[in-house]
Amino acid sequence: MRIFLKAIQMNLKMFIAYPKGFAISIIIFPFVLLLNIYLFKSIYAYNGTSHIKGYDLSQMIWYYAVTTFVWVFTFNFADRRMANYILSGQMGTMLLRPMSLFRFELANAIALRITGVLFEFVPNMIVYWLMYPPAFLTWTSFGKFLAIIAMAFCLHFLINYLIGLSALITQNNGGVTAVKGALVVLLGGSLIPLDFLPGWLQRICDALPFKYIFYEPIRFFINHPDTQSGSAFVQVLLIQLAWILGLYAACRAVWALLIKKVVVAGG
Amino acid sequence: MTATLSGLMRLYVWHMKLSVSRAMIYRFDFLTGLFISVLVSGLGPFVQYLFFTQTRGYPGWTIHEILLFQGVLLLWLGIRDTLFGAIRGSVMDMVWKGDFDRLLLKPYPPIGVLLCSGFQLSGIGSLIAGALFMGYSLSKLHPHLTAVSYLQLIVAVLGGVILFMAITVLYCSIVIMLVQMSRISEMLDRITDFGNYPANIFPLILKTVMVTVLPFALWGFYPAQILLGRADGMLWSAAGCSIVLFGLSVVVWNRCLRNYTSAGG
Repeated sequence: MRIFLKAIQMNLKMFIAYPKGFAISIIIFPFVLLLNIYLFKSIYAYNGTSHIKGYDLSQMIWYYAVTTFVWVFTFNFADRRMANYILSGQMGTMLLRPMSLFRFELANAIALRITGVLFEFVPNMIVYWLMYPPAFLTWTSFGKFLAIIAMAFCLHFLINYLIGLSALITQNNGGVTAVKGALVVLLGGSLIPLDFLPGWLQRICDALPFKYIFYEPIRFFINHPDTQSGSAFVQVLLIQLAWILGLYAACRAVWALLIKKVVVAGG
Repeated sequence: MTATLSGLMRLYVWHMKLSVSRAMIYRFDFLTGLFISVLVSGLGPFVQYLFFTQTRGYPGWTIHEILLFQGVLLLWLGIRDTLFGAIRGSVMDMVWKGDFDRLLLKPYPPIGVLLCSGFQLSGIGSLIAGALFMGYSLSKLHPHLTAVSYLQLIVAVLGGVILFMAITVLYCSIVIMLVQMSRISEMLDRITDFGNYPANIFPLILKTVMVTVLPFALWGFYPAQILLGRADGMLWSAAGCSIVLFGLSVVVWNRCLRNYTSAGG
């Protein structure tokens, strides 16, 4: 645990070394929110309705704003980093470290997200709040969001790590990463709320983990009526937990299988 | 000046050959990537289709017109990613590792060398998807094109390429100043993504911004409007603004380069 915390600290120092970069997000994200406000006002006015697929104008604008926040809370490079280790020949050095690659990558992802939350989420949330106050938000819905998003982080990391392991076979896993990216954004509800998808595709989404990274956390944040009961919250948490356990087991099994075949080369 | 340009063109062709050879080393990854790229490119039109079938859509656009818009946009994204797709990754990597300093010793301007190293073969996935969507929607819309329309199309495409070069130069300037910022690329994309919507659905003030200060309308909106026979005179100002933006981006780059103090190693 001490080594793990040291790894987090080391990565934190690396990310905080360049603080100017984070300031850019404080300029860009509010601009994106402004564009979204105008875009959806125009669409809602043209459609002559106060709700589209159960979302009022304010919730729809915030749906896309919270999509950005979900990225801030859960994004990590485990998939690309693992491929780089293979391509550059660094995998050998990584295997000699006093902690497992899984724990090292997890420490990197946690450090990356701590800086993201501190320097991107907090200031942007304040600016967004001032620009377009979320009347729907309550302390309870925000608290539920924080619990669900913490689980979503674990899910996103495990999926990326599993994809990263594919580099042990293909060396360059750019193609697989692209598929994963497309699945996450479409079937996770980052591109468009899942309520817009046809029924059969929604059922497929229900059986996959991606909606528990984006769609569910966003719905808890915007306090959608379906998420207000305690049982809905517990149900989503349990499903996330089941996916995390399943994916963790898959990561362990795939690692045990592939590490015997790995050939360290490159450079 | 002419010698520099012809030298840079030779360099671009050389990088192109290298990029193709590199893609062929990991053939499986390239082929799956290409196949996936065609499929992934279809996501945008699919989302627009879902939106149109579930709502009244956008004011002034039918489903076939919006599919044409998406097709044009994909074709543009394909051109952009094929010509310049590798720049962002390579400049970030070079600056982070300290390799950027080597560019300063080369006989050509560093920004020219960077712009010439952008060829990425995987961009042709979007080109293929865009051509398919355009072909389908044009077969439904039967547009009537004149000589002026073709001239307008050339201006829109060239203006779009120059605008993207301006954005890329600005991106490189930010990277050499800030050194490490993992999500800067995503942030820039979030802004340019607004070019993925027809400019005329935004209020007048934003539409004006999208055809002047940030003329993203050159990428999808104007080419689609030209094909639909309803482009307005603002096309010319958008193309003019893209040239001005490119000039400004080069000024910013030169200023950043003067203040550059190396990193990494």
